[in-house]
Amino acid sequence: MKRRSFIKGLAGTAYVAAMPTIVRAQSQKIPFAHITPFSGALAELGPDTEIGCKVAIEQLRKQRNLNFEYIRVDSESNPSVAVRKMQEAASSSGARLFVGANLSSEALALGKEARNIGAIYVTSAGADEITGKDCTKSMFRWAVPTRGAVDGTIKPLMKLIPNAKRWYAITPKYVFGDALLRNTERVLKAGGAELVGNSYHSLTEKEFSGYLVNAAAANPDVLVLHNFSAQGAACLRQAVSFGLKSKMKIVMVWSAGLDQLLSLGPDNLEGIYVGAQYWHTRDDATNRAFVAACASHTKAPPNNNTAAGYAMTMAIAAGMTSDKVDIPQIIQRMEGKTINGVTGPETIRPFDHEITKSYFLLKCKPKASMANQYDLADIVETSSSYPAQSESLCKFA
Amino acid sequence: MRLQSYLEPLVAAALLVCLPWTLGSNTLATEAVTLALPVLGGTLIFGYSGLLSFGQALFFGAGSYVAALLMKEAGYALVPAVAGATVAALAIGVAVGAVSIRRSGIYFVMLTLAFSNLGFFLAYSASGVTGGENGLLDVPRRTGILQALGVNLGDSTVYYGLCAALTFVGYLVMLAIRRSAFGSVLRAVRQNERRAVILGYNARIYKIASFAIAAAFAGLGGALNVGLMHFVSLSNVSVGMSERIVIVTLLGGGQSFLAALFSASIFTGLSDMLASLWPRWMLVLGLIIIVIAFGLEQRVGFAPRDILRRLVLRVKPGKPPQSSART
Repeated sequence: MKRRSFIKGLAGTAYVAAMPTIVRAQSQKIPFAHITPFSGALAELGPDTEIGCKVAIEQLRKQRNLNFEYIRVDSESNPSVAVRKMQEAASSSGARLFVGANLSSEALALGKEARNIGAIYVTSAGADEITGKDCTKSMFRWAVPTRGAVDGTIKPLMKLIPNAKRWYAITPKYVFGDALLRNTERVLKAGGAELVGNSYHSLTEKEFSGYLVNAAAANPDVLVLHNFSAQGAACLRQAVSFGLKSKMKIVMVWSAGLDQLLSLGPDNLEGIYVGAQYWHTRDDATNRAFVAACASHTKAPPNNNTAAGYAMTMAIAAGMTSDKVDIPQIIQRMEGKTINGVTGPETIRPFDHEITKSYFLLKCKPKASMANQYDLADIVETSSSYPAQSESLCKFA
Repeated sequence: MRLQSYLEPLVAAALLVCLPWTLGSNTLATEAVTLALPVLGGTLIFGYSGLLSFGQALFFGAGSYVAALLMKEAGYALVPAVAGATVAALAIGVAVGAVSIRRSGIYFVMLTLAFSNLGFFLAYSASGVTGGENGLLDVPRRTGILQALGVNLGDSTVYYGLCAALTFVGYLVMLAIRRSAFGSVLRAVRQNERRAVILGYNARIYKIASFAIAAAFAGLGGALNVGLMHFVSLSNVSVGMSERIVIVTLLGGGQSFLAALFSASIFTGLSDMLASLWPRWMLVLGLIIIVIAFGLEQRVGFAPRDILRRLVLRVKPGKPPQSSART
């Protein structure tokens, strides 16, 4: 009896002695902030991106014992609010790991602030400056920039329809639209085709009939839509109403992905070419697992923003070997790392912190060929195009 | 009256001291005081001159850009940059005021709105100087000679202290204006401009002066906002910013400078709290503003000065301000 008590006591003492370590290993929380618009003009970005972050966090908890504590930060679609809330999350929650599907202006300001407070920030915003002249050591970007989007849509389309020599563009007068137009001109010129015209419109435009009449009068083989989001959808819908779909091919270079295609519907979309950062039917084990994991959070398959939330979270985790948040070390480990991501292999370039990934050219299906309401398009080309190091304007200060 | 003359500044000082604890964050408190400055100016021109300006973002933005350029490009420390930005906003205020006050009522509102839009598109187009839609990034917050005194403006508590102190000084300036002959003439002009002119006052000069003072306050707020954010967002010079200043001014009742401080603090805190609770928080804020607007019309709205007078001095509140369009 005495011996048994002794052994029990010894075991108990050993357990108690080891307990703090065990507890620490299981419950050390790592503050992880997701800073994205949940209200304001781009409120639709937040909820979808959040699902992606949460799916990644669940996987990291199970597979790598990394216990990310999710903190939702609403940037209110306002760069000033975003910066102030990043400061607050850092001071009140001790957060140093940030991700966000932000406006480009928000992302640029957050990248600078992340550097100021000694944090990491991964974004999926589109501005070329993010990994160009305004890059910082603290900022990473998961999204194909304008050059890659044009290379990933116009180039393969030129191969698919080699007789198409006359192209016409409709472009929002905006830094982003201008960058797309510049790249389209470059690609067409290199491929021996001609941009026979371009119609600029303002960022507040909702009615595109005037631009579409000009496009029809130019009699092009292909109509290139550089506008995006609600403007892209409105412009495409009106182009279909004008009957342009039967007279020429139409390509939307930068779509918002599944949600936008769902809103347009198969009747409008049939035969249209669309560029996308992510497409849920991409067939490989990682993406299938991701799509299945998202099913417990939402009925619809994941869209661009959900994939971005997942990929951005995984990119940070790629730099972590333990629950210790040592920012310079995490950055160092992230650099050069290749992740088996939802778009295929994704590599973090050390010289500009671009997370290189694939861009998808989709061809929208007729309604009769769709397996379900989400089966709107097939991937016809997968490509990846980024400026080379020699062309990069990124100089880490 | 004697008690009230001491009580109001004491309440204002207590509010500014407690704000970081009440809002739970130095940065949020700093944002509140940088909003309070243009709202103090808005209260002066609306409540005392009868001018409802929808163009205050022009001066807030001008203050932001001038301060940022002085710190980033010319290497100035924060305090001289803020002073330079305030003077620049004052000068722009004189120019815009001299044109705008030639019209009254709705036409004055339209002119201020037009100037504000002009400023926005100027900032948007001159992207080489202002950063355009991406904003003016990487603005340093230099302490300058204050470093020798052991002050570190990089510390968020110290920075809030500086902003709160300048806001309190601004508040005292507004109180001094209210009690001065200048303030009395402004009220006379608001109540009956023709009568004030017959009495020998140049109403136009008084209105331009009050408009320029309000512009300087907005510029000061904008300059301090840059120090907080380290960058200038294009939204600083947008119509949205003008709307915010007008709404917070009206929520404060447009008469009391103490109420202006309270309304800026409550608006900032409430926006932040609601945003964290529900993504469609702007609906709730809209409903609150509607309720308060109806309350203001019936003189039961939020106005700490009125509440103070009712509770402490047992005095009934005064009449609401009238726009010069009605006089």
